Amino acid sequence: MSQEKVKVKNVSYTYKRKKAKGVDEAVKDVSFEVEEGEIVTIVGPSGCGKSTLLDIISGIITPTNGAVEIDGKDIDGPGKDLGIVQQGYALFPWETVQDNVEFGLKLRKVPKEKRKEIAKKYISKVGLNGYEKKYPGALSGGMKQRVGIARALAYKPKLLIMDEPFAALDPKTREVMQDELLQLSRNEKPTILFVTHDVREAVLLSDKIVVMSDGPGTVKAVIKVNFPENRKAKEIITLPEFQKIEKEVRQLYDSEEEIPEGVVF
Amino acid sequence: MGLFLFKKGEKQVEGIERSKKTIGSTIRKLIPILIFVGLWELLPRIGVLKAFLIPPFSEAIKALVQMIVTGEIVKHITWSMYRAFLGFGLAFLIAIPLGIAIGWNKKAREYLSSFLTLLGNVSPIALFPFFIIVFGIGEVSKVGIVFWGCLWPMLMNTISGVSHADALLIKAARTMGASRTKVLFEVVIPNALPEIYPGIKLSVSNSILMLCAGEMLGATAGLGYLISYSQQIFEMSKMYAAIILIALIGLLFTVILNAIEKKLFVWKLNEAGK
Repeated sequence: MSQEKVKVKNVSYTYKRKKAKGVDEAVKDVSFEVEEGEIVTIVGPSGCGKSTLLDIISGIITPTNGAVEIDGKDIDGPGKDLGIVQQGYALFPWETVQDNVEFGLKLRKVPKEKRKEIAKKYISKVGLNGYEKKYPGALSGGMKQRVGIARALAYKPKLLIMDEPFAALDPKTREVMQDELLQLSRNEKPTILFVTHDVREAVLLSDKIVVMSDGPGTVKAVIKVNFPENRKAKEIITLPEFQKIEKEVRQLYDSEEEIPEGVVF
Repeated sequence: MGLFLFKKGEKQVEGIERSKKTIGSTIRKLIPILIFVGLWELLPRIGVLKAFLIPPFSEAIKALVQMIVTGEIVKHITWSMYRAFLGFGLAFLIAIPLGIAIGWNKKAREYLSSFLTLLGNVSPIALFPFFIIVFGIGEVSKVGIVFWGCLWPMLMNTISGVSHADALLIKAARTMGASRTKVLFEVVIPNALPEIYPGIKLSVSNSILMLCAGEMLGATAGLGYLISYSQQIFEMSKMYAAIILIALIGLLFTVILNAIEKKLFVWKLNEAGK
């Protein structure tokens, strides 16, 4: 019994050109669904309109055409249903880990005692027990991103957007974080929209992969992935099934990054 | 047990080492001051400097102690501090909210930035004749000049700090459901504080500078007045006493402001120590 949590319905977005006449199409007729508790990944080349699409889904910009529906209601403007984890961590450097995690709860007017308790719980869920009073500046990249994830999960958003969250981490840390995310997903069942450049990461984490193409950004294919819930990176990346899907996505992806004619190296 | 004692001993040694270090750095800081004071004491006494123009350091201190004992100095300090606090306080109350408003509003910034930069570069001392013509030689002019000197560092730094808000942090707060007002107070202003605070510090030291200038140009009390009056009646040790006192007051403010800074920006210290 799955339920469509987020529906992106025929979304298009065009930027008005400032000088020359005309418009730039950033996103064109994009549709896909994210079901409750799923991890859906968007992969695509740079400039495929991913950022624009995320801004639309988070309500920061309004689509030129189409709409985004969360829990059966079209969104208008940034609401309180979203969590976001970004590549640059975006932690408030002047707040302690504890206060950072409490930020979203404070906005939702959760009483102080309750807030403290919830934040503590999520800090421990991401394995940062004992770091409550530290400031982000004193943490490593992996730890910062753990705080970012705890902050976003603490207020139980309907949709968690993760915008290349592990791109800045070293490969070893990234692998650990991927496994931890899978574990969190198993326990907490957040609905996640995950954007990445890394095809392997996409195949590893996803229940569904949305492959986008550029100029303007459209959905090229939606690929279902079906690995066991308690998978671990190390165990499944060597499976033939995994490699088959990875190859399939990579082919779709790579065909988008052909070198334009006339370019001489 | 033995191991425990050994560790404790090691820690003590570490503590001693550290206090040795801080004593060392304090001595290093004091050396130039001591040399300066020593020369000030010595050179007039051996006749290298003319003692009637520059009396020895001890004479200035004697004059200072005497003014404290007779209570004469209280009036001057009270007046000066009153003007400094009033001028600085008014500037603070206007500069910070105005700076936030201008920094937060892109249109306002576009219209006003050149104009404000131009105004801010007008020396307060150059404006003094204008103040006297418009407000007379009374308190308004003196507080006005302090106000003008304090206004600009705080205003410009606040505008700059608020307008440089980190887009990533704003986006994070917005997607978590923060309203524009919340974003301003919870993200933009805290984010601007490291830039606003140096403006406040600069304004405080400006307030003392402007105060002296203002009081020299017509007053009946105040430390600036004491300096120029003592010079006119040729009481040099009193003049130097007032100068020393002003330096000490400046030092006191710096120490207080630095202590507040340390408290306010603990998270920055943390950043450096990673």
